[in-house]
Amino acid sequence: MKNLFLILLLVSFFFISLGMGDAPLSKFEIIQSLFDTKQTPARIIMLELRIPRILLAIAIGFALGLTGAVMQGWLRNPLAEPGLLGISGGASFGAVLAIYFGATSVSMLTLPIFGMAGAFFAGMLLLVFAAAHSSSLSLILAGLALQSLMSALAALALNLAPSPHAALDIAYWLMGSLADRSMLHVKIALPFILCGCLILFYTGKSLQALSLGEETAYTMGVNLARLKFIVITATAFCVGASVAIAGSIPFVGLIAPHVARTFVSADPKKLLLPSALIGSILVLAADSMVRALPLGYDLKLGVLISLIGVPFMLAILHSHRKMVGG
Amino acid sequence: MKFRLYISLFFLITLWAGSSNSAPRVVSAGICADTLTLSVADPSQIIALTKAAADVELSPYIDKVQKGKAHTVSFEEMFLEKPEMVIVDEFTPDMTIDVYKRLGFKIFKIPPLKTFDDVKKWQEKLAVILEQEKPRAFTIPVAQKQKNILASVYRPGGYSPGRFTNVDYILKLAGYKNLASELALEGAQTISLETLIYYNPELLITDAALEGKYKNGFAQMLLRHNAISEKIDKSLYIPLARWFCLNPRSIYAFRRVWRYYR
Repeated sequence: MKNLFLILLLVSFFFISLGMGDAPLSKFEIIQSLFDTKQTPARIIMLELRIPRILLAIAIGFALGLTGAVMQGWLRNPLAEPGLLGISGGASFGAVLAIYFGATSVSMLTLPIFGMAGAFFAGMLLLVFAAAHSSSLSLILAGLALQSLMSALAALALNLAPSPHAALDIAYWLMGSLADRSMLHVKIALPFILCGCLILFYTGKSLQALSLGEETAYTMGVNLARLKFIVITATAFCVGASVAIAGSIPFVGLIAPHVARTFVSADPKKLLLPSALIGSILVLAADSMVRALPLGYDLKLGVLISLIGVPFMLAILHSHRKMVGG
Repeated sequence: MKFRLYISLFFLITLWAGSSNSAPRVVSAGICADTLTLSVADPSQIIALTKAAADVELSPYIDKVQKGKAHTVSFEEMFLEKPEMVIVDEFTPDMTIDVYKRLGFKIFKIPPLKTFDDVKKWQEKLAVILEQEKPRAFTIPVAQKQKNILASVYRPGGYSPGRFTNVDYILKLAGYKNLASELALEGAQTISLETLIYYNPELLITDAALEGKYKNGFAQMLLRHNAISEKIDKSLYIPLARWFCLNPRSIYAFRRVWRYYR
């Protein structure tokens, strides 16, 4: 029932979002353009710009919300999310490398592949650290260090960029945006995101068992090493493809599971779908806001979500301190 | 005695000849300073230019740039080379200019050149300072009658030059309305694809090379987006170097644009 409500909310945001954009199209023009047979400017705007953008916002938000819920369940830490653990940073760095070395001119597919490879590499580094240090606090700190390292490497690429075009592209990455994406981007990202999400949903039962503790999960037949590998690989698929298309969009993986927890039980398995749907709603709503704000300049989606995400993270820390009586 | 007199005379003549022939040697520290310097100076006078002077996309006088001259000059090199003057422009950071001043170098600042008259005036000023002959005159185009045709220059990342830019000056001089300017945008700002498609300019101009290593980067990909691919195929290409800094060779850009809908 709650999931149905979230789906209805997402559908209504979909229709609201269709009306948002720089071109002042009336409701009539929007509806007419969808059934028009001629290539009018309104039809081009709807089919080539707004709809791909909305589809990407839904898919990317879904992937980021889901990965956040899975990571929090897997690490049993409410602060865990791909951005804070350096996996998004790894994906950004991978994509930046692809742009820096001009690999994107070989094929458009190189971008998500480099993004996924970067995310996978960062995830593996984190795993190596996780094997040595069992405390979740040290893991989060290691993740933050990893994220800083990846950001520094991306900044280094920007610093050494051989051409102003490369520098401009890298700068775009670091800010995160869905502006002017096309159906081509949807086709590139969607298969990887779908594949990653399916695998992550498959981990639900293991995460449920893991919430009872590692030893109990082990006795219940959960192969922890295999689970870690699956989570990192599927997260790399989702985050790598998302970051490759939209750049860095932080905090969605952190916010979505927390919002979901307020009206769904804390059961990691039951949290997966609502977190993913809330992620979609969040990214779609933020992207609609980016398009609706009459600022006169191009506000980046990643910047807006960060502005929302930082106070949210501080609020979580504050409520956590209250709970433990700090 | 006579021998001493001859020797002294020889040295005096050599010194005099050396001083009279040594036109000031300069360093240029800005992309538009490079352009104006290259259009006036003798190549032997130029100690160094910025890296941009050797960039085929940005430099209109790349044919005049001597090998090894386009590089960032460190302050240490400046002391070794001892230029008589440093030529700066709007793109030279104020901090760099301050350091040059504190180190005792003479600064010649070129303001943003907004019209062909400005170009002529500052070329002549620079020629006097560089002890060169008056630069070859170029014919300043006459402002054309308004064509009532909407034009737009669209760049990677969606940047479009609006009011107070060289591009706007040239488009208006050629009789066009500039979309970014009509939207009251100042300087080079972004116009979304939606806005571009909605206003549907009759003349679309691109000034960035769409091929090369970075053709699939997002900034470049914007110009290959399905939504405008047809318009881009019919667009007019003017190399960015022709109008990034206004210079005598910008006349070419004016002529291309003007003739397109003559």
